[in-house]
Amino acid sequence: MKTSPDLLRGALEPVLLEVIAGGATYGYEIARAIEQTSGGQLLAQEGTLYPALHRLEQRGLLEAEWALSPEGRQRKHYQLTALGRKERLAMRREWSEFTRAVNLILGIQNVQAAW
Amino acid sequence: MSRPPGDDPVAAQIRAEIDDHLVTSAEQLQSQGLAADRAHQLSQERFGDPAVITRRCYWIKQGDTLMFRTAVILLLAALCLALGFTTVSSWRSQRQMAQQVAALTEQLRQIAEQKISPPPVAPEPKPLEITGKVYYGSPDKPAAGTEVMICQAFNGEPVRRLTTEANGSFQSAPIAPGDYTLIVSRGDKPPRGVQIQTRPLYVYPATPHAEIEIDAQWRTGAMAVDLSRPLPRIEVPGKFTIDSRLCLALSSNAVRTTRWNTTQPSPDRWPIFLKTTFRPAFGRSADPNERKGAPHVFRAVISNEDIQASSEGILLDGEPNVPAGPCTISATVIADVLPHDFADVPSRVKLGSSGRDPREVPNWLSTEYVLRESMGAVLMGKLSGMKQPNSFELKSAAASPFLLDDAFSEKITISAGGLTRLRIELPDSLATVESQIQELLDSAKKPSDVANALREHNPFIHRAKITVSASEPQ
Repeated sequence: MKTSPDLLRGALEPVLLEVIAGGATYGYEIARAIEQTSGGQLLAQEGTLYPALHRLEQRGLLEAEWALSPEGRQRKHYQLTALGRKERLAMRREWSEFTRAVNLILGIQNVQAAW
Repeated sequence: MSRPPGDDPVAAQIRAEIDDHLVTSAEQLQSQGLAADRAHQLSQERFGDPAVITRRCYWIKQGDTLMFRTAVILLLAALCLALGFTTVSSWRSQRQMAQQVAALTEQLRQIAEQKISPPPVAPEPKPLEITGKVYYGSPDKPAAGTEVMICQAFNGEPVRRLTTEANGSFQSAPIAPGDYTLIVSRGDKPPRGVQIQTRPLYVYPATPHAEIEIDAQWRTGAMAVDLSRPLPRIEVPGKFTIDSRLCLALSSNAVRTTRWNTTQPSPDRWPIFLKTTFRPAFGRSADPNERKGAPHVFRAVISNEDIQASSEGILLDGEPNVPAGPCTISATVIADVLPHDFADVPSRVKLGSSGRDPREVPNWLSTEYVLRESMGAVLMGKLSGMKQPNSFELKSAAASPFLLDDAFSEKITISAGGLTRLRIELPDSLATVESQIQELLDSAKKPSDVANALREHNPFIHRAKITVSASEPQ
């Protein structure tokens, strides 16, 4: 079951930071990493990654550079900035507290922090 | 959301990024065995609408530029609004000014066309003047032909002279604004030379007309004196003669020696009488009270004979009457000694006449003598080897200062038109005046002896006590 867009909207940015920190650098690769890690639950459409990526870039959490792919196409690669690395850690803590609180309310026991 | 422009580099980069994603995805699917068409189709389905994603990304990228543009647009819009408002306001102001100019032009045209009467001329200011009436005692007794001087109040100098009409009235004619006081001559009315000065009159445009009624009646009363005992007179043949006089000095605030002006304190009553021309010629320092603003002092130096002869009233300054009302009076008894080798002679005898004994005293103890000389002056002259009185070293024995000394004065009231009888108690010291003077004569061998003795005790000056015994209608 795919995650609803409303839930995904709040989780996408920490997911992207985490995936990029994990080594994915360009859009398709990032999408594959999310799909594989989440079991295909998070992304209803891969295109939704790009607005989020560009927002993070605009906020200075990501920096990008263009490079030729092995196939000879122009490809945009992302990586975390120092601010992005710091924000990633903050988002992890915030998400952990948030999900713990939500889980408590929803009666879900023995839930460990996601990260 | 509008479509990003085709030639925009930002949009181109977004498209390139999305194209790379789609192509890569399709290649991966093809590598898994899907046909090229199906791979591209599936890639599109998994990605979503590339155009929508491209626009969203584009506007995210343009966020700062958009905000800047928006701000610029808003600023320009505000400037346009302000410019428009200013233009409209200016246009409205110009239109209002044009309307006002047109209205003014129309008014001027109407004024020019009409024969508009000139603005009303302010009425001529009323001329400043002083009017009044002078009478004696009551308004039905006008003082006709009386001179009225209008004087400046600040210095008493006359600025105009008028003469009263038959009904006693006078009118100044226009005069300059100012503070004035009037001096009224009393013509031949006794006592001669006495004038009347009125209260100050303030004549200004706000109060252009000053009117005053002046009662020129010289209200007086007579004064008689009774002594507790006769004034002492002792004659020792071959030695000396001691004689005495009663000196009276009376002053009233209603009678002054000089004109009042605003530099002096105001009198306690108006009008005031001015008695300036009837001063007896008493010689030097005869009237030390003749100072500006001082009351006139009526004086008399009288003997036992004078008192006996004036049961109906004594004369002060030669006048039978003195000003009625409150006054101050002093009574002093003076005594003097005339050595036997000096003779009391009438003043017509010329001192130092050749062929005669020059030791003569003119008018000894007359009013003039008492007010001019010091008591004991004849004795001092004798001791000084002089042939006339010597007052020079006997200032302390002069009578005049004692007559004006407040310590010697009493407050009394002279009854208007009546006879005020005064009782004068002679001091006990007068009973022994002969022995006092005899002692002085025996002890004084030279002039300084007299002067020194008088500093210790003055046998020549004695204060008397005055009381009003009766006020009788005349």
